Amino acid sequence: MTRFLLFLFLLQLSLPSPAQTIAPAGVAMPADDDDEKKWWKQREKRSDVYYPHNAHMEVMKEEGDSCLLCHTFNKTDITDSDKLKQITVIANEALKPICHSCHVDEMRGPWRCDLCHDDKTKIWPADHRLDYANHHNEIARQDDKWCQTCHLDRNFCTDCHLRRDTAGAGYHPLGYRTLHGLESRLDSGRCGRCHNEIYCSDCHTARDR
Amino acid sequence: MKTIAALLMALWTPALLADTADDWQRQSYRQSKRLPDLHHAVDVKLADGMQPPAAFELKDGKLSCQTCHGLEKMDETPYDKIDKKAANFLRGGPYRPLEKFCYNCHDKESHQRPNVHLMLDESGDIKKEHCLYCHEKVHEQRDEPLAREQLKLRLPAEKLCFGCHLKTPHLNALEHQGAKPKDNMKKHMDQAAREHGIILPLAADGRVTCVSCHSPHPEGVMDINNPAGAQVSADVKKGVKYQEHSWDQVFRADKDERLLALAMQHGERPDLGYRRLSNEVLLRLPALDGSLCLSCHEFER
Repeated sequence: MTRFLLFLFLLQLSLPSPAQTIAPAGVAMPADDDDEKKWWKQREKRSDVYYPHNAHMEVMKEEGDSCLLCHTFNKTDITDSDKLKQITVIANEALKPICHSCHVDEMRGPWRCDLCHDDKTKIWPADHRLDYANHHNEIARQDDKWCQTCHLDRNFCTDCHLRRDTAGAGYHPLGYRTLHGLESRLDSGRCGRCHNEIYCSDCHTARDR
Repeated sequence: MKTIAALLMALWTPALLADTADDWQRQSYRQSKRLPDLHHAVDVKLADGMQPPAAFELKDGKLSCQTCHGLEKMDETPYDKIDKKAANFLRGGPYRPLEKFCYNCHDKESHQRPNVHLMLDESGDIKKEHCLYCHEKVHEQRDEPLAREQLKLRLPAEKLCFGCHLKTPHLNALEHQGAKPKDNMKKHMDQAAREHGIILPLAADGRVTCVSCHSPHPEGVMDINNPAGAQVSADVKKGVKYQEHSWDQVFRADKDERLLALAMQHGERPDLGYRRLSNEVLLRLPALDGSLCLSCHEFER
């Protein structure tokens, strides 16, 4: 009983008081400051996208773009200040195609989704919410290009499907290791959809092939 | 009792006066014979040689409401019932900027305001009359450092530009105007100003104003090595120029939903596209490479 009470006491200490709020992971706690109410401060606390300005300074200069790429100072003939403030916020919002043109389409910037989107639930499709890991095979077989719009790195598939330290439950049936030689000779292109040559040479030397 | 009566009168009188002042707005021009502020004269003959477009009808050879306004029975409609947002409120409208409407009848060249920022003539001499738009006197020693009060500005620096320019000349202007940099930002500004050999002046009360980023004088009016004269080398005559960009389509698609929501709220859909700045003028540092922004702003990450 004493132990139970002591446990409850310690549990109570570890919980935040009602006045405290817990920031989502990776989000700074707001300071008690008027500045924190500014829209750009709020943007820094967004968990659906993260934009480290300093990391982009050099590349923006190289590209010939700068702050104006996202924060437009274009002329306007709108004189209603309330309306203009609202439009400016919209104009300053990060534009997915701009970010993705470097990070996804051309893969010139780091292309791991979680570098900018630390909460994947904010960006993934609705069907991913319900046990998708166990039900993704149908769509992946039908249209793997659709998967690749987000999952650019083939390791995302092979990390699970081609692990050699588990007994099956992967892409290939049990015992496939002993049978794969025939299929790889018949249609090596099919193997190449997931594997590169290094994967083969891990086991096979050049003399074997 | 008297006090209460006096208080009630004091509260009620301005309302009464305001009511009277706005009375004419509930009447038409025909009833009140009164025109809104800054309105063109009516019932006047056109100047010799002036050729308005055919649609601009005259009444007995004189200007009437219907000459410029395309709305039915304009002169019989009470002012507060006139739809100023109608496309044909001004014939051939809407006009942006508004002065385009004036050039239907008036010659653009001879009626345009002079660009007072063009301060040097062909031979490189100063156009003194342009100095006097903003200063009460011409400062002959142009590179002599002057204290704020010695500048003899006609209006406080934070109000001076609004004589010609709108308070909302470009996006993000409102976000900067009147913002008061905190101590750490000021420290960063001082450091950047020293580093780049420029000034980043604030208003008397320490707030950001147009001249914090913009140099009112073009290149050559002051020595380029004078921090007050240092600026982006640019063609002021050409003015600010933008170039179309292929991202315009994706930009519009991205903003479409939110702009639609705004249109529901304000009854007018704002046009927001994507263009790139190609000619920046009268800036203390380039904005194109971000150095102007970074002279005030710094980021933790």
